[in-house]
Amino acid sequence: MTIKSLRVLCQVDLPSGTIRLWDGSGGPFVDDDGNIWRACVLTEDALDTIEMAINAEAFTLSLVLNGIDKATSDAVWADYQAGTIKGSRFRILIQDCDEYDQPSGTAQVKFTGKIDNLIFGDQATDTGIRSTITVEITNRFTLRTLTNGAVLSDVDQKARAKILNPSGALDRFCERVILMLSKTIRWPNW
Amino acid sequence: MVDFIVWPHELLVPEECRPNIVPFTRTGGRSLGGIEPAVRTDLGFWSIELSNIAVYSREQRQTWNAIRQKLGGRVGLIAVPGWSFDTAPYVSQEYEPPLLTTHDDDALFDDDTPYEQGAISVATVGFTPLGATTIRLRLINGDPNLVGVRFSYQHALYETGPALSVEGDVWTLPIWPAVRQAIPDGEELEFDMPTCLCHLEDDRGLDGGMNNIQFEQRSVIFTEANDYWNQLALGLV
Repeated sequence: MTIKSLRVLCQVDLPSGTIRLWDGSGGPFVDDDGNIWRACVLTEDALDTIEMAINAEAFTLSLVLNGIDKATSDAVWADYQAGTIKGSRFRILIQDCDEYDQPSGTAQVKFTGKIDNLIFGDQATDTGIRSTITVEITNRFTLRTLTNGAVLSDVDQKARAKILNPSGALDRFCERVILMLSKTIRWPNW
Repeated sequence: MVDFIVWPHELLVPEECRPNIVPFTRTGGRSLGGIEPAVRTDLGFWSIELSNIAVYSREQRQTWNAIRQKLGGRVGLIAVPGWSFDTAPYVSQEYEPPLLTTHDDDALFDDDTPYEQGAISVATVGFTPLGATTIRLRLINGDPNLVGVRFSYQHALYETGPALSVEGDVWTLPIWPAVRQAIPDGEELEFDMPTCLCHLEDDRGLDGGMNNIQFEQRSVIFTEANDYWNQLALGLV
């Protein structure tokens, strides 16, 4: 049977505790393990970015959350002030639901990244002031969008090889093939 | 406990009350053939529209102003009645006012006022946890048809769907939205005048004025206060 209902979940493992959010405006959502997920609003383009992240096209996922309650916001702010927020694990999950909108099966992790930066913002709109938190998340594909991520220079190549394959022998490809020394190769864009 | 007020349902009566749930689906777009498959990502929240509330007496105007002062825009919490005479399971199948009765031993309250008791009596069977979407109800006094009715528990409003099973007087029904606050076993539910904890939809939703004939019909839209239920579930209230 096709899935008629699902929930987009977002889990942030901050040093001060785990924050569980789901994308929507309804009441609290309870998963199979009894965890309570509170509603928040991912902005409409956030879903597109998540989708790109799922396709491994992304890079830095900039996620704007609004409609966050005060306690969550305060917790995030406290961690931010303490300087411990960078590197916290951030996950996007999709939970399939049955016909009664109850969770069925375990939630599938669709994106995992690490928090790189947080931007707190207040924006005046015609209906009032909107408080948002922009979460900048990086994953291993981040290098692709950086300028030097597109350059296959000797130094970059060696550094990346060390990260991707730490136990392997040192990558000396560019030393051996002279033409590669100053060659720029763009990552495939699919 | 957060401080909130209840809409005076006998003083400020709308010509029409429209309690509706707003579900939310997402879609990847429409195909060339015109098919647009959608997936629900949110079971939704209540939107209660009170249209054409007659305002003519000084008392009504004063109450109106007092309510909007208390609410102070979209922030304030108010329990809004979702008038449901049309679907409520009255025994006579027609509107029955709440009963005024005495205590078991014919005693009244201190000030000699009687107890008010709803005309419909339905209690829960078993514990209904937070986030549940089905409920078991025992019909004590009412028309034996609980399909498509509205009820509330502690100002959380629900609507039932087609019955899943009926065993004697115990009905198992799907409900929406998801249960906002756990409902214990054997709890009496409000069917006569169900209420929903709401915010104003708009900061200026309770605007009013005065015209020459001193009769006005005002409309106001409320949306369910889901921020409150979310915080309550996490014990932050």
